[in-house]
Amino acid sequence: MAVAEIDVGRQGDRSASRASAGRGMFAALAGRAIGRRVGVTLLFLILAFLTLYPLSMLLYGSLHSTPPGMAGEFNLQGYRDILTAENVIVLINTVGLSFAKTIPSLSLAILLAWICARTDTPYRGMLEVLITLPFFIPPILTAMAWGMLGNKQVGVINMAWQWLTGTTSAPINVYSYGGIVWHMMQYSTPFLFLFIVDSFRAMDPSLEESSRMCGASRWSTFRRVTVLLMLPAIVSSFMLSLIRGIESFESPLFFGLPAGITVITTEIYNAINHRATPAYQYATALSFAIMALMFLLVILQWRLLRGRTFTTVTGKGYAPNITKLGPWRWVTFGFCILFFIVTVVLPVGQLAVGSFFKFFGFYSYDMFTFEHYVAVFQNKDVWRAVRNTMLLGLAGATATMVLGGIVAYVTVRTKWRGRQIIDGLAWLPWMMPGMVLGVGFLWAFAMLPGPIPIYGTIWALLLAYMALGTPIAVRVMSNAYHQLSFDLEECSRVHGASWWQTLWRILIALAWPSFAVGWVLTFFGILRELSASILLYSVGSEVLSVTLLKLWANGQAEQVSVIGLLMMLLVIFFRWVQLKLIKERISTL
Amino acid sequence: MAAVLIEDVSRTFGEVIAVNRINLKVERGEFVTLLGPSGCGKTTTLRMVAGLEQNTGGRISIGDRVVSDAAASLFVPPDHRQLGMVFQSYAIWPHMTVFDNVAYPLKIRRRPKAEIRERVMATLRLVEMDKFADRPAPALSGGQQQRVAIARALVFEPEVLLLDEPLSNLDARLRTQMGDEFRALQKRLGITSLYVTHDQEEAMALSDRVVVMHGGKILQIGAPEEIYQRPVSRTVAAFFGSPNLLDAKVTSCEPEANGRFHLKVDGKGWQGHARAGEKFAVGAPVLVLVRPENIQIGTQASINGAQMAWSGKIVHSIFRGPRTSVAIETGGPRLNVEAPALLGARVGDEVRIAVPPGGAWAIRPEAVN
Repeated sequence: MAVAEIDVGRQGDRSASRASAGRGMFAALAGRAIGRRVGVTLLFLILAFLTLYPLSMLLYGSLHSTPPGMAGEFNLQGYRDILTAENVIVLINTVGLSFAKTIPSLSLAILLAWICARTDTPYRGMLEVLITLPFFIPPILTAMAWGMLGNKQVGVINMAWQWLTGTTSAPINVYSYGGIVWHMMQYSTPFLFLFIVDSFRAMDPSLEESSRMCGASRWSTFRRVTVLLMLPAIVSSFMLSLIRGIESFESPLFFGLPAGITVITTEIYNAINHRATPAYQYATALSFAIMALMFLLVILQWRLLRGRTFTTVTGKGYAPNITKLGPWRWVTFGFCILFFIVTVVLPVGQLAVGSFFKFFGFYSYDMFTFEHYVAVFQNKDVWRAVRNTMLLGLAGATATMVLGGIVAYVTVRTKWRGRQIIDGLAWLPWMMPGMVLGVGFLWAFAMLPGPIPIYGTIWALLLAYMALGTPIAVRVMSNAYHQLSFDLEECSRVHGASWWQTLWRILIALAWPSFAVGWVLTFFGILRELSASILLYSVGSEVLSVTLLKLWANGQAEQVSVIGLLMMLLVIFFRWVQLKLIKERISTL
Repeated sequence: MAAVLIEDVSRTFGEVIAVNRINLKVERGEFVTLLGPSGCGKTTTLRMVAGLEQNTGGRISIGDRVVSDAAASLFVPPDHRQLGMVFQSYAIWPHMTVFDNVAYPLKIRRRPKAEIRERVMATLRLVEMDKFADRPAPALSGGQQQRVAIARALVFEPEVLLLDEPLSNLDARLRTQMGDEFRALQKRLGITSLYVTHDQEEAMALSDRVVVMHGGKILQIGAPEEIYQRPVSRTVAAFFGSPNLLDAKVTSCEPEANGRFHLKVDGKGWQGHARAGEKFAVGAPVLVLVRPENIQIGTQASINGAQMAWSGKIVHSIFRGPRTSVAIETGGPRLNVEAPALLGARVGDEVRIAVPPGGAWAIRPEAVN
């Protein structure tokens, strides 16, 4: 917080004129005020279609007794149905599991962030890349891998245990509360690490040094200065992790349902997919209930996150205090490597091993085979899913980032009227779990008039992905714009460039690396998306995650392993490109 | 014909009046500085001339063209004003080389390649940066970025050059050097320049005329010497250094040939002469301004018979190298004096001080603004 204040103070007397810089800049467009109003309206309509429309359809669905197009009546039956004793347990499960994974994940993330940012542990740069990798692996892959690793009968871990101890007991069973938490932690920890490590690094060392000069010991400084400076970042990541835990679908789907543990997202999924007659009204009412819960959390989180945005930006150029660990640095090094082994090497290794043997769980020479690879490569459905996923990934990431770039520009760089509404709309999906948004879109597309046949096509998925990705796209792009001073644009205007020329030659030219990084991030998001896809796909428009789930449900764990392994290669390739971009382009700015 | 004409220009931000009906005429080839404390409206004024800010009242002309007229809703966007500007942050585009940065205004204007090359290199030579043409912009020091920013502003020979505190991010030594270099360049090329700063020494050293602003208004416009020696008000006087302001009453007021007035004044336990820019009635209260460096200091014997003279004791002394700043407690006023360092003034020394003829300037006491 202190860092942000100092930075604001430095701008001093300019703040008044800076505050109106946008207006001054765009006064030039005063003559084109009509064009601007049309633009804002268009943006509003696009965002409203992506967010407000499915949301209102959700409300309609929860109040209407039948699906769209069927005769029915408006009533509160859906809301009455969700008020059951079972659902109290579902709610406790949802919130409880989220807490249970957030606390250990956050502690682990803080420890890892401290190791990577503030100690002299060897190869810290490499460790950071390794530690963050699990975040980019689609959770469905690790879920399947752990389903194999931690299987009670044929899981590698239990088999190893039995071989070591000579007993027949199986201590590990991933189909349990513990299994859900364990799996959630695997992608939650790297996510929180990414969120926290920069605030560790961005800390101005003089803040700590001055504490030492005032007579405080190292430990006392850590307690009274370091931790308190980190507190905003820690509290807000806690909230973020909690929200994501409640939205989580893969972990409770894979490890909860077989054990009879239900959370809100899987309950919605069950109500639509696994009942004799889909209980749509019940599902939409439940979606609305979870939205209400999210709304409270998001409001809380938003208030906590406010004002924190700039601290990470000002962090540039500091060399943080490094704690010398002595021989202990190899312990911390080993700890990070262990984390990497458990979260990446074990599951990916399981996929690799699983893909080469005839039956999963039977690993002997005579079982070695390539037949699963052949089967996958000959499977037309798989190829179609690959094509769909790649198409949706490329088009979806591009469209989302363009939309996010425009929204961020309007909200950060201009003083146009209505920009707060646009900002608000773009943030709306942040509090809609993919499952809820999926239900909303299901209704929204069904209610569209006949000539617009989105329902059941690949377009349905594209629009849902865009809605889900927009908040992150906006965040990435507004951070990028925040880092570019207004002077750079104004200077271009004064020296003869028009508004469009400035946009192209200065703003886009400077912001494109962030755009590319955000693009990869959005692409990953689409690659891993399951909860909305599972509701919106239909025959012909399956994506990889849906195909994987279907194969898994059919017991074809071996083919799942093959596809999973190929997806991993894709993930590693894109992550490599992204890191290279960040290193080469963004650090020089 | 003026190069920049600002007529009755105002700028309000909601309730706040940043610039309050100012009038200013900058002649062709002139170097005019807007000087004032933070928030006085100087940067806003510059930005209105640039077209980065729209004036809410009044009219701005550049050359013989009106570029902004609030009453007629006329506003020429910045890219059509043919200006050069140097920003406080330099605003060197980090994704371009030095050459590309300087070539930008020409490329935008679609000049032929050969001409661009020639003019960019000529301008870079002017600021002695031609060796760095292919450097990426982020790899430059502050002073070098400054030179590139000036080259970029000059390259297409703008009608007016605007400079927004261009030296404030440099260290003291470089600031003086760059300031002098720039002034020499400006004189040689004869570019009309409008310069914003809060540093009074910079303003005096560089400008043909200084415009002192405060609270959105212009307090005084004049040559640096005039502003410094003959301020119109206490605010302007206090903006330069820490002057002595002595309360006195007028005992006589005679007009002088140059349009000013010669006063005799009577203070608490002293009498003397002062000059003034306006007529005062006999018996009217005045503030007599005496600059610390205009006070002579010596022993009892060396200064005798002068009219504005006091005996006193040094109560405070700061050695500053070329001179020593001392505070002297007399029976009447306490005076700040800049003494020669060689004098070796020490706290506790008994000294005699005097104001030589012409060293005192009288202003209205209520003119606080």
